[in-house]
Amino acid sequence: MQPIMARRPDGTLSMMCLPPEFSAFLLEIPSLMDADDRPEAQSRLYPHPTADDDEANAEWERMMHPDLFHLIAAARDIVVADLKLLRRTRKLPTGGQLNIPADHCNAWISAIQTVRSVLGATHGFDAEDMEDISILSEPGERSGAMMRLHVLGDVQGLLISESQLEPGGGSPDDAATDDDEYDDDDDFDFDWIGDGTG
Amino acid sequence: MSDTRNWKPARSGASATAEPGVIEEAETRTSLASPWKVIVHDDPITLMPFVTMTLQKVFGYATAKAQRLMMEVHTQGRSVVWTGAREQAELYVFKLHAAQLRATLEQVED
Repeated sequence: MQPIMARRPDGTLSMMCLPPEFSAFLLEIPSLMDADDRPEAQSRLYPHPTADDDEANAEWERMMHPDLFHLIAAARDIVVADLKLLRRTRKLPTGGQLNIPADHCNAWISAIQTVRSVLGATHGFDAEDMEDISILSEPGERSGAMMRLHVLGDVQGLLISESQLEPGGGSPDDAATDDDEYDDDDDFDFDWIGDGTG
Repeated sequence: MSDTRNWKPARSGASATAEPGVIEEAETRTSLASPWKVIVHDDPITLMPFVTMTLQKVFGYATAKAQRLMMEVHTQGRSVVWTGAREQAELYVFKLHAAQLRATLEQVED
């Protein structure tokens, strides 16, 4: 099954024919945003502004972290709402379908960033790990986490590119470079249909 | 690391222990101090286009400048992405944290 992506005239991104395993990754996003009981992930999502000023960091925590919490929760709520269609369609023979309205795109990018940050912090992935494909075949949780990092990274990269398109289609902004860390060499490459977004 | 001893989030105003209407001396002293740097730190998990996009959104930088700063973060581990008044620096750091970039504040050394 080859996933298909189309951009509707109103800017909604429509992903169709999503394989079950890919749908499963997307459906996990809200729960993977949860950093509770994982101090490393908590520290990553709710950082301090200084390295060594405990008093200032404590004040920042008191003043700023509640707002960060609400921002993460707001993005999660949007993603949860958009995933309802995929939850209903994921087992259809034609594959799952996900619609992301244009004004939800930033929430999805943010939610995926949260998930990737939580996974990276929880499993302590460093730059070397990110280049090490052998981790994907390791037994245990690290391989699954790395797979999710890569798959969701591809989705995030795609959404970033889409968010920089002119309304109604057009050329991508030049923000993406040849040095982009993500690539599209995975099992979930999308075929494009629709106007001018291929 | 540069001096952060006088730092307090500007949004907090006077300290919680101060009497209402009393502005502590430290508030004035800090506002007249040297400017603050907003620093973005490298994170191997975060995609380069995401960093570029975030710098554009938060600071309004042109693509070329945002990409140059992003590459500085990537190759040197950190980049000073903005320097200026403390309150604005705090706001920027908050926005970078909201985007889940690793960012800190440092006061410019005299």
